Amino acid sequence: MVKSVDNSVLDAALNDIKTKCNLMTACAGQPLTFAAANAGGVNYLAGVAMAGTDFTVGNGVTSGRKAAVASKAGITVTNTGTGDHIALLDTVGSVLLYVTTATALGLTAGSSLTLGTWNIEIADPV
Amino acid sequence: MAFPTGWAWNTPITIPAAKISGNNANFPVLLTAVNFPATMMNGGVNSALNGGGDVRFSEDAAGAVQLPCEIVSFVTGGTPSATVWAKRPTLNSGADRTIYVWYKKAGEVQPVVTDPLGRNAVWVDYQVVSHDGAIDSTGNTVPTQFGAPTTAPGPFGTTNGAVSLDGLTQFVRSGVSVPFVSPITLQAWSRPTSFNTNGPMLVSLNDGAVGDQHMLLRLGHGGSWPTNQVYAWGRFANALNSANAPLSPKILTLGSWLKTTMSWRASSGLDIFVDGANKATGTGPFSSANTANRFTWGRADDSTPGQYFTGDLAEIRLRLSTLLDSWITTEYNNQSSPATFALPGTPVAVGGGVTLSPNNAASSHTAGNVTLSQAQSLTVQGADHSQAASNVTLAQGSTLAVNNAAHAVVSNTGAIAQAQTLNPANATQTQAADNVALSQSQSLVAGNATHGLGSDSPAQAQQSTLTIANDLHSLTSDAATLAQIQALIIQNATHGLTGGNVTFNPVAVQPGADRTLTLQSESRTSLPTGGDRTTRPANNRTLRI
Repeated sequence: MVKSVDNSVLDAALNDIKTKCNLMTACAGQPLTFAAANAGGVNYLAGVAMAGTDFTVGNGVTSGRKAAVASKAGITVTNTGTGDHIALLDTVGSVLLYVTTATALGLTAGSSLTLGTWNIEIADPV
Repeated sequence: MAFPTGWAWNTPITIPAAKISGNNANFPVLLTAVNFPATMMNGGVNSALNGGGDVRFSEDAAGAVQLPCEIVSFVTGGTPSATVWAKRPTLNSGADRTIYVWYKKAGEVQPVVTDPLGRNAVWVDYQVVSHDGAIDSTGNTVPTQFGAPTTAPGPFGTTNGAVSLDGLTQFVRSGVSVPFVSPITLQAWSRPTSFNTNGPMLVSLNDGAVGDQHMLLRLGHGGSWPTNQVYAWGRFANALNSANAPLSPKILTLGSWLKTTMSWRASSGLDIFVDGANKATGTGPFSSANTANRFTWGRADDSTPGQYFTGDLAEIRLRLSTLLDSWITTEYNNQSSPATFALPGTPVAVGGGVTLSPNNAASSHTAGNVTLSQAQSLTVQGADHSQAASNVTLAQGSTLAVNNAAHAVVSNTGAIAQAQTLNPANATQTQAADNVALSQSQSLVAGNATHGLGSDSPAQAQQSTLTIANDLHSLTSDAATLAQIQALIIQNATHGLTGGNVTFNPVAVQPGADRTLTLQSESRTSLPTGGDRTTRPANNRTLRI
């Protein structure tokens, strides 16, 4: 017996991020709220504007579907701290859309930062 | 661009206070791959250059006080490795101490060995330092290898980090000019692979054949000097005034690394340290007017050369100064367990082009299982089936169809309830039951075949019919009872009917047309019951009794 879900069901969640996300931030520690991850928030270290073109929805690596988040370079670090989380924000609706972890790195205010590419994947049902 | 301009990363490396003994000046710190952050060694976007060309050290976070360093080996990628020495001006107890490593700058190479911050500067306090028996990192001598020794992994895991000697003809020598005047310190890491009985030499400082003066570290030759123990030996002045100080502090294990230090600290004392601990002191007085002209490892190099060592040697050092006990302890803490001696911190981006790598996020997805109940059917297809049950019960409106095959039905109570049919199809059926009961409006039809029906009391109730079809049947019973308005029809065949009483109540035994009821030649009793009964043959019939 096999369970299945149509791609449109999974894509609906991924496209919600794609259409609403307009800011990606590097954070020190896990941000629990939109305010904490947003510029000026307690976890905020650096941020870069995002658009729908920065997300590519397609087949998942393991199964299901994924949204590939594009790399962003030339970001100026605002606050000094250890970056270990990445957040996707909808500043229009004040929603903390998604948070993932990152390999911890010390960031110095004023230095230049690149955020590498990464994926959001929703697997097929099991 | 001058250091640290252009370097992208630095990382603090902390030496816990507990690992430091005493106050130590100009201390070369051993650092291996485990002491550096993973991102520095993995060959990724934030990694140092393979080969370590961009690796630098400082005492402070800003990079103002740069430290001399020697990169012995440095490999980045999937299986990183490193053997690096960085010299701190001081390494004093009482608090954690920090070294900052700098890396990630394209196109960089290590400074030349004679640079004030290059290799030689790390070992400026030594006469000879050879990590592998091939190169003197002080730059003071050029070791000569005899007998073509090979290489072996060193005590810190460095590939080719040791010289391997065969105990027959192989040894290494550096030419020196060292007066036999204290203080003098000899050091070596050794790993014997055989305990020779000739008293093999680890390292010796000697004057060749001139006066046979020497200082040496050696293994025993047997007897009262066991071969698996290490000794420090000093022979000074001429034969009349020699002073031998055999010291016996440590049991060696074949194939295991051992660190030994021999320190002539004063005119009256020889100390030997094994694995960082002071094991023994030999008292003199020691004096000599001679000068050592060779520093040899792996054999005696005086007037009677020999006593070859079998095994690996590394970190061979000659120093014309005293090493305090605290230095020797701290040094052993560092070299015996680099992973616990210095701990890497979190890398800090100090320049441009650094990359923070988010981790991929994956969500799993599950759905519950749905259970089907009511309105289900179980269909037993045509095949051999066996079913055993205490009670075979058919409920209202249900049918048990036993298809054409051999079936065995065993039951204590074979019951057929209202409006049901038990129809064994044409096949050989065996049915055994204590009570075969047919209740209202039911029929037991045994199809054309040989059937065996055994029962205590085959009973048929009202309006029931027991039909035995054409074939050979045997019916055995204690009492075969036919109740009201019943007929026992025995078809054309040979039937054996045995019973105590065959009772027809109150019916007549009436053969049909052209039929004969024959009662065989046993005693038959025809007893009319009470009242007027007549046994009367019909027209043209004969009743023979």
